[in-house]
Amino acid sequence: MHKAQDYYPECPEVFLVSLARTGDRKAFAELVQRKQSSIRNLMRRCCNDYTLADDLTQQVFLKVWLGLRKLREAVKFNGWLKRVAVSVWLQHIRKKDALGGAGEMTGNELPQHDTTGMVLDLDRALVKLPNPVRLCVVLSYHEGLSHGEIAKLTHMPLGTVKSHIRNGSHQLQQLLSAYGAPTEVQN
Amino acid sequence: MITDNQDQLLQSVFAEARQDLDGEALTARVMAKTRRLLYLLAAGGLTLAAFVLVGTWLIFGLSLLEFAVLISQFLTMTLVDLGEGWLALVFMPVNTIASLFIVTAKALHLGWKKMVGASFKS
Repeated sequence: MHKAQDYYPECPEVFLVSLARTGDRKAFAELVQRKQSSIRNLMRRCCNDYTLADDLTQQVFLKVWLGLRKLREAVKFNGWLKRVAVSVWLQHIRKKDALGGAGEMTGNELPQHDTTGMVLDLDRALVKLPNPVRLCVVLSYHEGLSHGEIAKLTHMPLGTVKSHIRNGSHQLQQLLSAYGAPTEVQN
Repeated sequence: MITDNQDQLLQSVFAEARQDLDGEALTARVMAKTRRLLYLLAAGGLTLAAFVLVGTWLIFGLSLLEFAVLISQFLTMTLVDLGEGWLALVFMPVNTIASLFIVTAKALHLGWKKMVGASFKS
């Protein structure tokens, strides 16, 4: 006889979120399974250290587990998950900064396995950007968020976000120019 | 979702860099941590409850106990001194202040019922 949990992999996300909010651990596990890739990719682009990215991803999901009951509308889960991920990353940066300006990545942590050359090049190029610029660029290009959404998420002024993305994009274009001729900025 | 102003080259590089990562191990680690967190929260809650109970007992326990002893001593005081013979043993359950209270309460209850019943009749 099939258990209800056997059907979780086919369940809509909103349903899983609602179940997880009631304390259903299996539903939460399924949510983690579905969302981990996106959060890990985001963290990898942000921190350039795959082990650290996995640790931060775990922190994100623990925070989600603890705060899930406070989420009023299950349909807003994705946006909320992104907010939690960004806040975990910002906390990490602040902690590193407090430990002595170690916020900027050196690129020594870059992984040497399971990655294509292009991913490595992108991560190497991202390493060269200051933390706030990198975060804005990653949220814009990786997560596809609008400038307004990034400003809301990072609590930065909209003008600052725009200038970070403009400067960061310009730097990245130069560093990644080998992958194609730089194109004009589209409106 | 297309964002404000985006460069096509960067868009394509970021899109290609997005990998579909296998999450079995990570999910297992997260779930193990949530389990540990649940145990920790439960242990924390139990410890807090124990501290509150012990604290309450330390603050109010002794005085409450003394009060309870005084009350029980008062209620078991004999009404009529019947000595220590068999008569005292037979009447012991009803020869206390507590039994006086019970009898009084019962009488008041009956009287009240009679009064109320009488008023309804009239």
